[in-house]
Formats: sequence, C-alpha cells, structure tokens
Amino acid sequence: MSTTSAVGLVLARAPRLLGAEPFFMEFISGIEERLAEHGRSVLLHIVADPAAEIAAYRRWAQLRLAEAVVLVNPTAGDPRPAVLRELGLPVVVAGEPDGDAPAVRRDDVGSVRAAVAHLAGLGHRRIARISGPDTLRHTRTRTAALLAAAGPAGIDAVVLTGDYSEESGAALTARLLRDGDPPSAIIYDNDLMAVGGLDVAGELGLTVPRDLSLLAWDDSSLCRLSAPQLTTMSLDVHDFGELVAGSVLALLDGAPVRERWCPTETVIVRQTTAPPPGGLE
Amino acid sequence: MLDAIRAAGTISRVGLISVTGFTAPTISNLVRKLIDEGLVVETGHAESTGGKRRVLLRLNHTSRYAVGVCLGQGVMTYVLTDLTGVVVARISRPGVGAEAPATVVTRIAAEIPTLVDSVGVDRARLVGVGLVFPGPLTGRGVAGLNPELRHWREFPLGAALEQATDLPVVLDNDATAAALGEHWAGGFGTASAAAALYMGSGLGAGLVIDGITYRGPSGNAGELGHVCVDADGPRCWCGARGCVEAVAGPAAVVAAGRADAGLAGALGLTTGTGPAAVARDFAAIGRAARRGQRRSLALCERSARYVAAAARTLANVMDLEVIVLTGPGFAVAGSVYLPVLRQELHTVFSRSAHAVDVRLSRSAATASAVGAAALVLESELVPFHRGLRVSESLDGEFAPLPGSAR
Ligand SMILES: [Zn+2]
Repeated sequence: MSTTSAVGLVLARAPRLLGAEPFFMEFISGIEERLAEHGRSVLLHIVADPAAEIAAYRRWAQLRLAEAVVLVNPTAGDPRPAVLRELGLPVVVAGEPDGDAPAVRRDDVGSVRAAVAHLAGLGHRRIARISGPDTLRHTRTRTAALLAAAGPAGIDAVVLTGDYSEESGAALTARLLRDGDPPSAIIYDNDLMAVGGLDVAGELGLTVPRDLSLLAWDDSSLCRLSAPQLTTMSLDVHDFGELVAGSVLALLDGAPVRERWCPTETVIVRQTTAPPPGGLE
Repeated sequence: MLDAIRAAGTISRVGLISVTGFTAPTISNLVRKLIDEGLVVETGHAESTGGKRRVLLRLNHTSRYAVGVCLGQGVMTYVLTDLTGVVVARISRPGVGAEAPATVVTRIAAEIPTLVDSVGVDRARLVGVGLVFPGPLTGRGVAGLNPELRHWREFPLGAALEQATDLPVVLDNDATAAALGEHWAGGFGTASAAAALYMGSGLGAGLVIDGITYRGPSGNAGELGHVCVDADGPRCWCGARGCVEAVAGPAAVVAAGRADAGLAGALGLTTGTGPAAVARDFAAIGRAARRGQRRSLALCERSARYVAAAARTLANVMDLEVIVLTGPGFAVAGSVYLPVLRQELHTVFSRSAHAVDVRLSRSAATASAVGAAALVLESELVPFHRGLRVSESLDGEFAPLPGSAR
C-alpha cells in the first residue's frame, strides 16, 4: 500500500464550530465509500485558519502524502486553486469553482427558488434569511438568488450574516424577532443555526409554525430530532460526497472530468412551516 | 490536575484548589511543573471580584498529540488529536480482514508516522497510541471472542505494537473508548452515571461512572449486545440465546433486508458476508429509513424497539442519567433509533427520581478512534485514571471464552 493513495481534504474552521461535524462527516463518508472501492482513502485535516490550510497543501505536495485534493467552501477571490496548481496537486472543487477546475456543483439558485416558492405559496410576504459567512461563494449565490426571486413574488426579503453556529442562529433570530416589524418566516443556511433559532423563538413565547415559520438547510439528524421537526431543503449530503468521489476517481484515471451537479433541492415539509399569522393576505 | 484544567477549559490556581482539594503549595508546585513541561500556559486574567486578579490557566493544545486507532475487520480508522482530545487529522484504511495479526501491526506502525507527518507535527510530541477493537479485552490483547477475529486470540497485540512504534500503547474495546471520548467532549454533561451505546458491526456499551470509565475486572462490563431480550430467541454467536445483537443487531437488520428481494434490489444490498459488507448494507438501509422509505424504516424501528428494551435494562441496573448513541451505525441511523429509545426510557424504574436523557453523539462516526486517543492521553498524563497499559499488564490472564465452551 502506497502512502500516496489518499485524497486530501482540509477543513478550516474555528474549534468552537465542532457542530459542523454532522454535515462534513456525512459528506466525507460519501466520498470514502466510493474511494474505498478503489483502494483509496480520504485524509482529513482540520485546521484553525486559511493560512494553515495552504501550509497543509504545501506539506502534502512535498511529502507526496496526497494524490489529489477535494477543495471545500470555495470563497470569492479564493487563493487556494492557484496554490494547488503551482504545487501540481489535482483538485476537485465541491461547489462553485474558480475558472475551469473540475467541480461538483450544487444548484443553489434553483434551490433558493424552491424555498421561496414554498414560503410564498403559504402566503409569507416578509422573509428573512440567516446566511453562512458571506466570504463563501455559495452564500453570495444564494443571497443574489433570494433577492432576485423575492421581488417578482412581492416578497420583502432581508439577509443577516451568521457563521453556521447554533449561537449565531439564536442571536440573529432574536434580533429579527425583537424588531418592530419581524418577518413571518426565516430561512437558515444550515441545520445548526435553525436549531438555535427554533430555541429562541420558543423562549420569546412564539409557537412555531403558528406564529413563525422556519426553514433549514442541510437535512441532517438534527432537523429530524428537533421538536417540532424542522422543514428543510433536501440536499442529500452523502450523495454529494459520492459525486465528488466520482470526479476524483475520473481525474486520477486521467479521464476528462465533466462538471457534475447535485440534484436541485426540494423542500421537505415537516413541522416548522405554515401560513403566516392572519393567513393568506 | 491536567484533567481538571481540561474539563474547565480555563481555570485559576484558586479554582484548582477547590476542584482538586489539594493545598495551595501543592497546586503551586504542580502548576509550575506543568508550565515548565509546556503542557499548560497562562492565559489572561479572570474577572476581578475585588482583591487581586487571578491568572487563568489552560492546556497548551499543541504541546502534545495522541493517535487513536479503531481496528475493525472492514475498516481501520486513525485519528490524531491534540492534548485536549480535539481531532486534528483522520484517515480510514482497509480493515484487517483475514490478514495475519503481525502484518496488521506492521501496517499500523507504518500508517502512524504518515498521519503525523501529514499534519506537520513533530513526532516527539506524540504521547502514545490508543488502540481499540470490537470485543472484550484481556490483559494481552484481543480476546478473539468474535468469530472473525478468532485468529487474534493468542496474539500479544499491545506489546507487538509498542515494539513496532516505540510508543506507549493502550488497549480497550471500542464501546468503552467511545464512552471516554464522549466524556471528554462533554457529551454526558454533569451526569454521574452515563453510558455510550455503541453500534458498529455489533452492539455494545461503555459506562462512565463518576467521571471514570467502568470496565469491570476483565474489560467485559457493558456488553449490551449480549443482554437477553428473548429467552426463547435465536442462538447468538456468543453461545447464549436471545441476545439483542442476535435478535436485532445490525447483522440481523441486514439479514432481514437482504431476505426482502424488492428492498435488496432497490437499495443494492449485497450478499457479501463479513462485517464490512454488513456495515455497508446497514448504512444503506439506515439512510433509506431516514428518507422515510417504508420497509427500511420498519426494519430499523423493529430493531430499535429491542435495542431500547436492552437500554432500559442497562439504565435500570446502573441508574443511568444519560445515554448517548454513538458509533458508525448510529451515525447513520441514530435519528431513527433515538425517538424509539426516548419513548422506552420514559418507563425507566428511576423515573420518579430523575429522567434518563437520551442523545445522539455529535461525533458518532469517529467516536471510538477519538476515544482511543483520549484513552492514551488519560493514561499517560492523568495517572490516576489509568486504563490497561500494555507494559504493566503483560501477565494479565485471558478472560474465559464462552464461545469456546459451546
Ligand atoms: Zn450473545
């Protein structure tokens, strides 16, 4: 067994965001399952900041510890693809690529449209979204898609920027709800922030979904175990990982790697979305 | 001492006196020693409550590292953690399959430096290797109770790995390690009696009583998979009848799924034997159940009712306050099992005194490898809580093997 039979994946995140684990562990297990069939593994490295991530790529290239890299959380003006090119490390981007790097894309525009259509169909006209960090490309794509979809539907939309943590979901939800004219529905960019928001709504004496509708992203166990169960967007994280592995394997075989897309997400209606108070206007 | 600082995050010397019960001069000396060794650093001041401000101490995360290895038949998982038990790197490699134990030891010894180098950590900062495996523990190594691991029975796994890696090695079973990892991560809260229910290729439990893992005299405490849930049930591989693992464990769920031709076709279930194939098919059934696929959901919920009955038995025997579901099986299907277990635990005998809180671990997929690393950190740095250090238990006797008395 060669030491270079690993595919590297670096996760740069603050240690307190440990709760990010369910999403990434499921994503990685999807990648691993496909790679294992071909005798390959995922080398996961968790670092505190972007500089440490780039240092890891340099080390892996030098020591020949990774034969390819899966790049996650692409950002605007991302410095990483250029570094990987310089190092000669083949890369598959999970998300929106910079230039023509092989990528597995999520249809964020189509998914946001589905989310807005669901809430608009219930009669919501004031929608807020608590997003992930706005350095991330997919955060910006979703924001643009939300604003584009809201106007024609007669919806007033605001976006607050969170950091994916349960705490930021709770704090920003509280800020929205204490406002003089709060939204009747809130969309969250992940599961943890939605769980934080659900807790805060309860503490403020609101009954979900009678008084307030909540829609989470990243359908994880957390969404099914909350009370009431969170309505979510349907991204199958495991399948996302398998698609990424497919591109990695093609890349390593020297085959042309076409851009792959995750299926457009649909709304899984559970127990946290309903018509707004006062019903359809 | 280190354990007290780790558990607190940051703490002052005065705080340490009240937590440990040591005298002020003792604390002062111990803290100086830890700072000299680089294990502990001073980090700012506590809020002043009048009088002089107190200097806060915390662990120096990157001063030491530990390797945790979960040895499985289908897959081997390696993690590297820092001094606080937080994962820095992780990799999975093919499992031991039918390989000879000595070959596997050579392989592990080669993988560890690769993992350490991938993170750029100086190998001198490694405190040791925690190695865990499914099944009970003996002084020397794997008991080999599990049918597929029978050829490991007489193999001195720990001693061989210590020799091959030139590092201290600590052994334990996967469920106990997962429980320790959960304790380190704070998953049990303030409970004085807690258990981690571990679903891998089988079913087990690790117990943490008053903050310490309870192993029993032979490391066999918490063998939840062999709690009887049906006195007339099928014969288990352990030789007994009606064990929950035989009635409703992952292999039983997979067997039922494979027997349903429609389901087997839809989910692409295999006919492969061995734990790797069982784990893959169980994951497929678990994911389908999560999506609400009716037949898969029914299979998992049936299994969950039996697991819940066994969990209630354990809670009644140990007066448990918290149960955490963990391991690769629950990482996939935990959200299906959890509501069933919560419901069942409402009927626990102790309910008038306290409820039993049932939760899903936040690191279910890698719990036992993370726990293995915690095990070696604890054993090397917190001597009072010592697990089974290989070098000190070489004359340990093998536990009786019920499987061989069949
Ligand atoms: Zn048994």
